[in-house]
Amino acid sequence: MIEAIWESMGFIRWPLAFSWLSVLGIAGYSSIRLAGWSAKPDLVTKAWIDAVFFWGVFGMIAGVLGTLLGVILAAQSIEAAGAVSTSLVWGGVKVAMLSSATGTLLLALSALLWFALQFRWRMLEARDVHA
Amino acid sequence: MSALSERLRSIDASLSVPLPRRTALLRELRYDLDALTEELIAQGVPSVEARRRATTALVPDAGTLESLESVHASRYRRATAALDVRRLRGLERGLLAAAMTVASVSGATMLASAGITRDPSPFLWPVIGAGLVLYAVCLIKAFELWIKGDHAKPRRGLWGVAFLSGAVVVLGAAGVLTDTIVLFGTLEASPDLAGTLFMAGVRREATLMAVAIVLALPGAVFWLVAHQWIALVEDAHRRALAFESH
Repeated sequence: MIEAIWESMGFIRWPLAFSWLSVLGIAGYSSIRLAGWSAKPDLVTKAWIDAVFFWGVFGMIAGVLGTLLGVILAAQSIEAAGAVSTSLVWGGVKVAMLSSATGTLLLALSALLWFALQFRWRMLEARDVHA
Repeated sequence: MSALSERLRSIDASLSVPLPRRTALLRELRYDLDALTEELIAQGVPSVEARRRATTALVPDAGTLESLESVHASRYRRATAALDVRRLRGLERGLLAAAMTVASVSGATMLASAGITRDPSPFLWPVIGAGLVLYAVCLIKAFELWIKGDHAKPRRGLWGVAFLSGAVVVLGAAGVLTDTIVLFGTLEASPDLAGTLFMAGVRREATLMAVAIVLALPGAVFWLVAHQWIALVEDAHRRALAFESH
């Protein structure tokens, strides 16, 4: 099923996959920087944490772009062919929506990761201020 | 803040050298000061006096700072040092205009060959215009940061890039909404035209939004890259000056 979804997303699957890998990779790297007692709430770590959310938003917008491209291609085909069966049209729209759904899922995940990492960064900052 | 940190700060403020090189210079100076202070202490000089003597011996004067600037200036600054400032500014603006003209012509050719300019939404042109402004700002900022090496205020204009990227998408969305309202008004008045107008409208609006997103995404990625780069070099610089990093 995952393979079918992957295949149906067209070329936009690549920017989406890149966004997923970026979110997971940068979140992992930021977690390592924030782990342990000796962790410091520095500007570089903060910039990496913000990058997690950035790639989430990027993934969602890329997903919307994928849907729009699918709709454009479908509309062009329907305009050229004239009357087309309704089930075919809605089937095409359903497939086009997959990239948006994947992007939105990524945005939700990145927002949660960003919130958790940001929370840890603020805690470390508060610890340093009070020390 | 120690007297040394204060002295390093004043040197930092008077040096107009690209940020990573300025950081390296300050680190070197700090290392040399620490080494000389330790050497003097080993010779029996009290620590406060040793630090004072090391600072007097090693901290560069105005003449040395000037030569440091000419040696460590960016390649672009060294190559254009002989040119008059006003003439150089005119030349830079001319180059920017030429780059934007090439980008506009090649972009227009690409859009026309993809059939996007056939029966477009009236909002397509403002969206493309905003996209061109975004790319001009990105070009200016990239030139300032990585070619000219002007790091007096590295974050200046960076939020403008993020704002313009968002503005291109919002303008596209506003266009889609307005065109859709107009289309629905037309369909309400003449429902028999729905078969021909609806699909053409869907294609036109999806194209408008897709163009807006394609124009905005590279601007947003540029913002992230510049933002990360500035955070990295500023963090290293603060450490060299023994600032707190937050």
